[in-house]
Amino acid sequence: MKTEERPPAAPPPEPDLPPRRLQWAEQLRDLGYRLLAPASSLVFAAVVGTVVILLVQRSVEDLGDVAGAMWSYGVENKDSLAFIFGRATPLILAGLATAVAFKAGLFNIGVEGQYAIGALSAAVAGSQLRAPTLIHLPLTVLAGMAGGLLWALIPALLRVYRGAHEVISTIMMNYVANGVLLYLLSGPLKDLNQPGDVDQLRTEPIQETAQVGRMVGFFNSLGFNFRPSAPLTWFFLFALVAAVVYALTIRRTRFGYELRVLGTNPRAAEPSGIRTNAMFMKAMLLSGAVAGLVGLPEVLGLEGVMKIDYVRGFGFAGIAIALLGRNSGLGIVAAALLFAFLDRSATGIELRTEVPSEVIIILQGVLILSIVVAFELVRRLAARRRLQETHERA
Amino acid sequence: MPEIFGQLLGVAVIASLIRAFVPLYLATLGALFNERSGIVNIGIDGMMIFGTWFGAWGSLRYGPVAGLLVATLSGTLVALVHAVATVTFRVDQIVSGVAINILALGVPRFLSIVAFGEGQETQSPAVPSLPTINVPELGAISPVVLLTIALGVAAWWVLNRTVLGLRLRSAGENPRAAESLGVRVISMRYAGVLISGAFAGLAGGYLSVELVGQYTEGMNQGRGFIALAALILGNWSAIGVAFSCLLFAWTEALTVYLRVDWINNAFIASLPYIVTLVVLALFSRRVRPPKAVGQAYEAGSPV
Repeated sequence: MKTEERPPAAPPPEPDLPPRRLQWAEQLRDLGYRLLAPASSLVFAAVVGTVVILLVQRSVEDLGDVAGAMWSYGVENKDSLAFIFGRATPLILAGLATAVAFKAGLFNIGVEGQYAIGALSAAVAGSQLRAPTLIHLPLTVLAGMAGGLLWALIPALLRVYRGAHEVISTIMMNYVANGVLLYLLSGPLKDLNQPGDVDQLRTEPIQETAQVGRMVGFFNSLGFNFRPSAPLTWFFLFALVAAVVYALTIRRTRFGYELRVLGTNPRAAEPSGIRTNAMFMKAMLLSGAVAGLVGLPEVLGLEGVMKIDYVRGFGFAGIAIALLGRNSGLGIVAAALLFAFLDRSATGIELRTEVPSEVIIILQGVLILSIVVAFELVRRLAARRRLQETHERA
Repeated sequence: MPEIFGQLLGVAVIASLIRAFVPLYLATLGALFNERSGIVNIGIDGMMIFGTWFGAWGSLRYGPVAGLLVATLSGTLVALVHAVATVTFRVDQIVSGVAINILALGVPRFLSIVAFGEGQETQSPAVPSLPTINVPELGAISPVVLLTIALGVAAWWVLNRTVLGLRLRSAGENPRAAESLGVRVISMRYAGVLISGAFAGLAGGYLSVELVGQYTEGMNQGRGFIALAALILGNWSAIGVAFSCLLFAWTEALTVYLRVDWINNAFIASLPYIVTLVVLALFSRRVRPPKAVGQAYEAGSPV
């Protein structure tokens, strides 16, 4: 459908505004409402975690031990922050990838498969091309994005042209990605210098010119005292910049505006001159391209190679992070840091206590469910208050 | 060529088709109930995973019959979480389902360590199965196969020939009209989701207790999602899904028996997922989902 380009409609004239000071108070209360939901769901998740630990261990001392271990590994240990920043890096990227699709009202559950293919494409470009860093590294990163985009292209096309719901198709693509990965790493792309065991499969190592260094020196020059081997790469900075770019794109550009209209009111999108199908395509492909970056900190930074047993699960965590962060750039960074902290403290629980560290995975799952319920409850609360006020004013 | 035909339709393939059909059909019947009542349940895969774990655990402790019952119950309880979130709190149905699937990635691992001990986080010990029934040609068959067929007939009868089925379907087609005629939409939707969880739990229980005789992590292999595709292909009808599940079960059976030199095994393993994508591409627009599926409903609210 071809419609004239026209500027977004002017907002309707505001009814008689309350005095300015009241507006301030209202804004403050809105902020309170907005923080109430994440805060209450964090408390709820902590309560569930406590109950689970008590059910398993039946003693309150263990509870103290778990809290102590979480504190000493998550906060006190001198490398904690390096680990948390490093872990947050792929989580931020995965959260952003999911959020771009969410903004358009699309569910990209396929970040998991998209980053597998993205990491593999980057590993091929990184190990096979020969070029100076200035050309090689950007090309490798682009190859990663292209891989993720390619894997999102099929569900995007199926959705736009065949009406297939993207939830099922992206999940199917995750399984196909597994098969493709196994096939390519056990055959065409296998590093012949490595033993043939299935769990040892990997690509050839990434060239020096496509590797990304650790950010440890930078932080230590700021007064931190991280170990040189701490798992923190320059991709952390890259992820933060990506979050800022995302936030600006959503808020300040025409693309972001159209994305938001599509996500909040799909029926209004077409009449207001937004080409829905083109936007669905763009949102899904952008989401896939960003997802293609998720595996790069590991492949180009920490490991210097793509292995069959690369770290999995960031795609699913990304969904939780986008939900927890309410699809906002700042929120996603905060949620990713929280999840990274939980991952880090899981190590402490593992090493210091008898409680299985998997309790952290339960916490993360509970968090997602409680956050969506909490947002709904807070929304109702706020709506009721507003209705009351309107009545009072009348 | 004849050899390939033997591979595609031989007795061995039929036997493994039946084994693949049971969990898929059970899960799809479950999905049929929740979607006809108007609620989307993406979490069906997670409910199956809970079923696989609790089935193995129950069978290990109290025997295979109890194992299947515990599996069914676990699926129902997880479905209750989904129902409370989506029907009562009217949370986005897909978000809630995704959350349940993520829980299903972590909780069984935790439970395994607690129940089976350290170092056993991804699998259970071998668990007892039900005694099998011998069928000529096909060999030993699990009694759950017969139960599945009976449940399939029962599901068709309940949905299409009873008052309960009519009310449940009306909640998924036009909840407001249904309520004005005295149907309790909220109860119907709860019923739809809980029945769905029970079916999914039983499907998972069949996998661990009957098919494999052990719980292993990831053994469900996304069957819950394939069930959702089978539901679409079956056009939300109890009879239609029997045929669509046969098709998907057949492709899964082929991954076990099809060995062709020019196709790599990694690709054959991906076959059910690729077939699912193709089916979605071909049929998503030709079918008619329940009208109000996926829409939250607030009882008694003004229009």
